[in-house]
Formats: sequence, structure tokens, C-alpha cells
Amino acid sequence: MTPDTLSATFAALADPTRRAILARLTAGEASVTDLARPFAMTLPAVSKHLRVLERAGLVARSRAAQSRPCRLEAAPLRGATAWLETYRGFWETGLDRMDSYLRELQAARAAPAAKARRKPHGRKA
Amino acid sequence: MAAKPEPAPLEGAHELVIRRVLAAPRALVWEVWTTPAHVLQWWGPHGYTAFACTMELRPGGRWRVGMHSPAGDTMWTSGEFHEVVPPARMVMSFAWDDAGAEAPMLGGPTVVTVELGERDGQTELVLRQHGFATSASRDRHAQGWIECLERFVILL
Repeated sequence: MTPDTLSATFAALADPTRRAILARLTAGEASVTDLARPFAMTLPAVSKHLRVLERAGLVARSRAAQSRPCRLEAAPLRGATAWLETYRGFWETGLDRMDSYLRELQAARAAPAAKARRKPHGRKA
Repeated sequence: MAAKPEPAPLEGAHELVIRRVLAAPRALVWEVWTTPAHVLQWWGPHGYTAFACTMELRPGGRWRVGMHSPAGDTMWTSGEFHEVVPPARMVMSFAWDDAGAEAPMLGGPTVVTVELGERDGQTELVLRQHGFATSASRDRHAQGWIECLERFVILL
């Protein structure tokens, strides 16, 4: 999973129609006609979304049948999920520390100035 | 066909959204996010210690935070402020200068939006991070090139 692959995955996922198409494909393979049915969209419009998903490696199309059914490719989604969890951890940890620090800072500022000078703020372990 | 529940991960699959209520007034949360001495107290993943921070707090200004990893490695996060609206909103780019072995997991440059709302003396923080900043700017670059080529073709 390279940064460029991740970017392509997220760019493809940014559109709600494309996310809905992927959600439909988690239930199994589907033709373009099947995929177009729940949306008020023309076949070319759906095909355009599918091309974006194919380029991002999120969808593969079989050449076996005339309908060329589409199927979900899970690997990029797993990469995207791992990325989201990494950054969720990054920010949640920082915000936990910020929360404690805000409490210390407010306590120090509320206390008399002399007391605040004796106890400089420091990070909790 | 049996109705299958839509898988939850896809709904938020395209961006990270974190909501927090902090027991402090909004002006103080803004101060703690934008003042280097305060940033050193909280920035970074679990086990990391921030040791350096610079912030040019204006649109177009740069920011940079250096951290020591638990293994003793030095890592830098940096970016540019796109929007600075104290004490309510900031939009900034976010990248790892050299994430080494972790680079594939951390991805390319992203955009982080932080919004602070005040309610009863507390602060509601909403942080959004998009994972495709490079792609969007690359697409704009690509579009520029295509337009150049189209003009060139017309000239021919």
C-alpha cells in the first residue's frame, strides 16, 4: 500500500454513489445494469463511477460473461481502514493528553500566582 | 433478495472524523492548539514526546512539530495553514517529513480541519482528516496540463 494507492482509494471513496456501489458489491457480484437500478442514473454515469473504482483497484470486472459482472476487491479497503485507525489513534492520544493538560492549566491559572510559579506545567506520564 | 445491512465501515470510509467535548473554554482550547509551548504538552501518538514546535499562525503560514519515538527516532510532522479563524476554525495540510518504515501506513499529505464550538463553557471539538490531498492537487495539476495540451493541439 503506497501513499499514492491510498490517495486513489480515498479519492474513489469520497463520492457517496461510489460508496453505495461498493456497499452493494459486498453482497456479491453484480452487472452494471444491476448496479444502476437503485440509483436515478444512466448506465454511462454508473459506468463512469465504475471506471474510477476500477482504477483505484476497488472493483474488478470479469471478462467471462457478456454482462461482465463487477466484484469488490477488498485489499484497498483494508488499507484505507488501517490508515483511518492509525490516525484515529494519533489524534485520540493527543486529545487525551490535551484534555488532562487543559485541566492542569486551568487549575494552575485559578490558583494564586505564587503557587502556579512553584508548579510549572508538565506532561503527565 | 434478503435485505443485507449496509456495512458500517463504508459509511465513514472516506474520511476520519473525531468529536470531543473538552472541559475548557473555547479560547483556551484554541490557545493550547496554536501556541508552541502548549503544543509540546500534548502533540503526538502514544509513547511519543514532542520536543520542537513552530507555528506561523496565518493563512499560508507553515507549522512543524518534531517528536521522539519510543525507540528514540526523530520524526517530524509539518504543513501549511489554509484557514485560520480564531477561536473557531482552522484548516491545515498535514504531512510526515520522513516517516521512514512507517511511510506506507501513514500515507501522503492530507488536509485536517479543526472546528471548535462553545457550549456552557465547554468546547466541542470536531476534527476531520481527508486522506487524498495529494490526489486532489494532482488532479488539478493534471487538468492544467490537459488544458495546455488541448490549446497546443488547436495551434497545430
